[in-house]
Amino acid sequence: MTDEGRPVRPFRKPAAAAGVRNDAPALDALLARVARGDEAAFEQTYDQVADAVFGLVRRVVRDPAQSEEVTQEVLVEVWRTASRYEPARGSAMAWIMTMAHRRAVDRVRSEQAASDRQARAANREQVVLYDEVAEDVEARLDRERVRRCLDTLTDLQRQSVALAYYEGYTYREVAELLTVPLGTVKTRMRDGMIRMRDCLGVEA
Amino acid sequence: MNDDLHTLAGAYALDALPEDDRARFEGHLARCEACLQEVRGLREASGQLGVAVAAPAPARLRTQTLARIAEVRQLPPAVPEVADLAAERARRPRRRPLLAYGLAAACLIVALFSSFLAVRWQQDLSHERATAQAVAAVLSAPDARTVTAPVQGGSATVVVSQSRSSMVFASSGLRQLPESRTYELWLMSPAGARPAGLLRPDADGRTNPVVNGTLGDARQVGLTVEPAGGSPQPTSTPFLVLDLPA
Repeated sequence: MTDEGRPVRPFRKPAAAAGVRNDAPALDALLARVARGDEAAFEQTYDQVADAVFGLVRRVVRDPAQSEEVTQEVLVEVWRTASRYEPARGSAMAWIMTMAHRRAVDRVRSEQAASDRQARAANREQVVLYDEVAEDVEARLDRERVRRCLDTLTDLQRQSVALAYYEGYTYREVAELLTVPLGTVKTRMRDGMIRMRDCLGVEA
Repeated sequence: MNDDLHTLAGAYALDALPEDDRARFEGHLARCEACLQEVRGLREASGQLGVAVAAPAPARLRTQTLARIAEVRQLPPAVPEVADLAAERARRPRRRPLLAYGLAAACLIVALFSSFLAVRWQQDLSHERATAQAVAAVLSAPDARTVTAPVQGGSATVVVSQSRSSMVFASSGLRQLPESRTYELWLMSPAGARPAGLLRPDADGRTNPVVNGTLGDARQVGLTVEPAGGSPQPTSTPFLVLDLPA
């Protein structure tokens, strides 16, 4: 695996996650303690990731009560499965955000008919990042960086990525919404994400 | 590398694959190191898309979550898979590495089966006993051979006895499916695929051992995702294919 190939390098800045301060313990070290049942370490983990998890879940799920429910499920899952996190496979933040996104997407796919969501999203193809939040400088810089990188994508790449990630659509639904062939959407999602990865300075 | 499958890496990192494509792509990932590396990089990037929409979580959520974890038992760490144990033994000089390998796999299957049996003990115990005997018959056959491969987050193991025309299949780490879908196992020969049983992973992703005593000219076993109740023929390309030892 990674010990033979190029190592997976996590976010360029160790404090890339929203709300993470430079003097905070590294997330993967915290998770190792959480895996051993350390509830204080879980509390610190919660404080580092809860806003990021909640923000993403709310962005996808929308309904406030359900968003809280899913956020709690994700964080309890972090507690439950901390022993299965392997730093060689990627950063702790990516591991947690992957879990959060999957849960959020599972929730909307099981609860809402596709037609409802298509109607809701009809005029929501622009990427909107929340600005309402009073946040620290670090989080603002992260947000700016992601926004700048999204701006380097073509319109079709950006729309494909945003509809999939922020709205929880499958690539088939995205193809339908954007009236482009399936193969095109698959390709745009991949080259769009490769461009995001390169722009954000994460590599694998 | 399969180009069509590889294109799905972006959609996969965005969780934009429907269940059948996802299972197929994950089967591919288990065999494609380059794809795995790419997915890891894209997951770092999609994670940042998530972080960019952070919003303050309500304070009550903190209290609730911290209270909740006190009631939730944690998963134990993953222990080395059968294949790793076998590799470990193979590194040391052994007179009978095959036996060690087979025994490790047999232990895994017996352990999986015991836990399954413990859960199901009230239901149709006589049927379970018959299954247990059939499993034991294959595992103890003098020509029993074992094949193991990684699948999704875990591994799949097949023990085959050609003299008994039988095989036992067990797996761990399979992703949960919605109620409307099921995993289906296939015996595949040049003539086509035959259904070999439905698999339902438990909460930890393990499936109960499936025994099949009609190996015939089957050369491979395959695993697909099918509509609940199973299909007479696979409706998608198997995401896992294991060659049966001759």
